[in-house]
Amino acid sequence: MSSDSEISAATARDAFERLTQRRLDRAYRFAATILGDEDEAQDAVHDAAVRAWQRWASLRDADRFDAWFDRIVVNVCRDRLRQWSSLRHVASVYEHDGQEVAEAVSDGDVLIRAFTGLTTDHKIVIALRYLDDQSIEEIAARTGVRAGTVKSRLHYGLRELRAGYEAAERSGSRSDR
Amino acid sequence: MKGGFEDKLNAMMAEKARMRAPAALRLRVSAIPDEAGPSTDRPFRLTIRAAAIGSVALIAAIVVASAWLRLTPAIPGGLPSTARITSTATLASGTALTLDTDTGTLPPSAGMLCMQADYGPPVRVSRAGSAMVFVPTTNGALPRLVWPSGYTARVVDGVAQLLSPTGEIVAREGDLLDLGGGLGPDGAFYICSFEIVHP
Repeated sequence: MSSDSEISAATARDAFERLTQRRLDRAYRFAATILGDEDEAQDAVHDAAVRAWQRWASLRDADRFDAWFDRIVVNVCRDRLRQWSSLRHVASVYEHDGQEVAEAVSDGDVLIRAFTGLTTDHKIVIALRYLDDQSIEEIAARTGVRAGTVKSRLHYGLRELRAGYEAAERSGSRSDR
Repeated sequence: MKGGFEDKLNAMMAEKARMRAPAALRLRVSAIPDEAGPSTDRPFRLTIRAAAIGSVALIAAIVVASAWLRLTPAIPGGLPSTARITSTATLASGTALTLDTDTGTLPPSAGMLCMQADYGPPVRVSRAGSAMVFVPTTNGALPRLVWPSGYTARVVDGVAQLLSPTGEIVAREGDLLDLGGGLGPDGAFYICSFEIVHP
């Protein structure tokens, strides 16, 4: 017969498994968007899940799991981008459905390249807003900054993204001539 | 934002929103070992033998620590330069702790410090006597940390708390914090109020 502590451990593990698996699609597509690499995204989400399990005892309310886990994913992605920035330039090749697209041939690719050039903080708020459709307050809770800072980052991030996109478009149309 | 650009951004995000976590990732998450989890949930059976060994080890550790403290004049390394060990006495609830804060001595260009860098590794909120101190979680020297004007620290029920200018509890003793800001001309690390993050 199981002891109380064994039952408690099994219950915690079940809850972790259920809640994490349910959130995995969102976490994965967020990480893939931010990191621009599907393999890295898998590693990042796995790392986030390990970190979440290690800190499971600090989650006092299961209803807050989504925001709690999202925040861990955001921090893991931010850490990885910081490490990258000192190690290498992000590859310009973008993979999709197993096919490598080495040249910018469509608007989507131009936009992805412009997105890759943004700062980490700008990428994070834009992805949370436009990919996950989160409110300013939800983004603030997941990034640990004030709502005003989120608005500011969105404003400047979008401005930079549009400038990068338009610059890439202009250079593309020049080279087409 | 122009309609055309926003449409393209929405289209890009809509395409990414169709992505699904690969089965391999789901398996990897399921395979995270139980042992990596919270220690409080692990089954733990205390045998008489383990208790006896633990007691002996504890007594030995106390003896060694006592001898070390008698022989060592000051605590080396572990605490940052901001630590001022003035007393180990229990402080009354509500007692204010000393905390280095910006007193406006920085030049006008210091506003740009917020855009410079993160401190790096997280720091742990701690207390040394009547001062709030921040202990690095990795090896290496910690510069003097200067908090934004208005930040304060206090002890409540034996636990140190870091408070924002509005009185909101930003962190408690034992918490980890990621700090952002920049180095001032005086070599101190000036923390930005919107870059104080729980990792």
